[in-house]
Parts: sequence; structure tokens; C-alpha cells
Amino acid sequence: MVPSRKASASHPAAEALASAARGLPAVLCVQQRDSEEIRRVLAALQAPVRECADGQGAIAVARTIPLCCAIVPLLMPDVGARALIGSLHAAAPGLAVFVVVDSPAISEAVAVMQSGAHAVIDSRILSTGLMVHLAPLLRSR
Amino acid sequence: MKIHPPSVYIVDDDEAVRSSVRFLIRSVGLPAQVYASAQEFLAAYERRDPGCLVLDVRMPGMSGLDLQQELNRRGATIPVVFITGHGDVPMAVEAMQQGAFDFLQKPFRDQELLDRVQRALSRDAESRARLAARAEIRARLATLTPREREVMQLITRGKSNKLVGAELGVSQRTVEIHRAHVMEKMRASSLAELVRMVLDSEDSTQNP
Repeated sequence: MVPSRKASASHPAAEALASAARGLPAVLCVQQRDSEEIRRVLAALQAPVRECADGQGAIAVARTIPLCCAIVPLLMPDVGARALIGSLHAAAPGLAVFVVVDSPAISEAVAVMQSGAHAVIDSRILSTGLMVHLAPLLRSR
Repeated sequence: MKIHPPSVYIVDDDEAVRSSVRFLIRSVGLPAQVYASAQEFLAAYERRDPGCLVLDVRMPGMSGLDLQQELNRRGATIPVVFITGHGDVPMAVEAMQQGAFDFLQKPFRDQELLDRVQRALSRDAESRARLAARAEIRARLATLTPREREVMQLITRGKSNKLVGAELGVSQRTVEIHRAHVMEKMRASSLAELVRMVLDSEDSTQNP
């Protein structure tokens, strides 16, 4: 089965999670090529979103408001995801960080996970990947 | 109780892989033991035995990921290096989320595996040393009397002998005596060291 790239409000996982997601701390998103698609998924989940332009912006947000999780690209203008994860964890211990990677190699995904990422999400199946990984997180909080 | 030297446990249903990895590991002077299945490994493995696990993902019966879950359930902290010829990113991510130390795709260079095994063995040694230190602190804590524990809790929160005495309804001199006993029993050379011990013991009760 080819996973859908788009999430909609009628997605079963979205419907099941919509009510649970209300009142959650924000999902932090660092701007990236796929920001529009990420917004659609999070809107379907009714998860509040806080966006920022780069890694420094993400650290500043993580220091100031409670967050549900963070979605970051592998490469940002000012820092790589692997370095950013450490800084985010220093600012918000235990924060789940999802790293979106274009067609990741296994070794690349493993290296990102070893840096403390909660999951690596392949941008080719972004919506499905976000749903799969965000669903248990949103349910548990 | 006999503690064995660190060993590399190799679990793979492919006899050729088991033999070649065992040969490689032994070529650098490390002990290696091979198992043809997850069940065979579980039957032989003692949690206290130091080392690391080189584990195939896909095996008939209990898979490598299943074995990792079972080890997690048993509280085993042995670092796991997964090897697989049929891996993909979701599988690697799942293994890492479950606590795998590393994930290596076949075919790999000999040195790649050796590097990962050496790092895994170092991680295991550090982890065991940390656990042993915590156990030692817990053993020292167990020697304190209830009153000494009370005094220790208060002084490690930054309270002076005078304040501790007032809170416990005893003289400052009595607090000083209890404090001296605490420092001696805990083998702490300073208040800062005692605080570290208390914090570490509290952490270990949450993350044993």
C-alpha cells in the first residue's frame, strides 16, 4: 500500500486523536521545505503549533514555553539536527525531537537516533510518518 | 558468584555469519560466544555477565527485535549491536527507540563492526561501574540510623547544624555528632560529595 502524503481531518488517526490533542503544549516546528505539509498534519490533529526559522529560534522557544515535541529538518541554516537535539534537551529535558530527513540511509538514521532523536521521519512519507510517531505521543500526554 | 570477563555474544541463525563474526572478534583478542537462536541465547545468558550482543534482526522464531524487548523486560542493560542484511529505516528507528546501541547493515567492513563492538563494550563497562557505585552508596545508606538519615536529609538541603537541631528538637552538639557519623559511614569527604551521593541514590531509585 502506498502511504498517503496528505493528512486530512477525516483521517482515522486524526479523528481519534483530535480531542486528545486539545489543550496540549505546542508542537515546535523549525521551518523547512515540507512546513506546509507538517502544518496540515498538525492541523488535522488539532495540535497547537509554534514555528521558528532556525535552530537558535528553536532553542529560544524551548527555553520559554512548555512543548509537546519538536519537528526539525536534518539541516538548518545555523545548525545541524544532531547538534540541535542536545541543545533542545538541555533547554527542555526529555523533549521528543522528530527529525525529517530526505531519503535517509540507515547509517544516517542511526546516527540521528544516537544523538537522541525520538524518531527519524522520511520526508517521502512525511504525513504517514508524522501520524505514526505523533499518535502515541499525543495519546500519552 | 562468578563474574566472567567481558564477552561478545553473537546471535545469528546463519552459521556462516556466526563463524565469521566469531573469528573476527577473537582475532582482536576478545572472547566470543555464538548462539543460533534468540531462545538459545536467553537460556544461557546471565544478566550479570558483562559484554555486548551482536544480534541479527531477522531470525526464525524469536526475532532480534523480540529478543531486545525480552531483554528490556528482564532489565538487562547489555548493549545491542544489530546486524541485518534486510534492514530499512523504520526498522532501524524502532530498534534504536527500544534502546539498541547501534544498527549495522550487512555487508559491513570488519573494522566497522569491531569499532562498534569496542564502543559497546566500553558503554557496558561504564554502565556497570555506575550501577556498582550506586549499589555501594545504597549499602552505605543502609548503615545509617533513622536519626542519622534525618540529619543527612536536612544538611544536604543546605540547612545549618543550628537549624537542623531546632527542627529535630535536639542540641546543635548532638547534630554535629550525628553529622560526623553520617560523613564517616557514607565515606564522604565533603558536604558537596554527600549531596552528590544522595542525589545519585535518589536518581537510582527512579532509574535503577
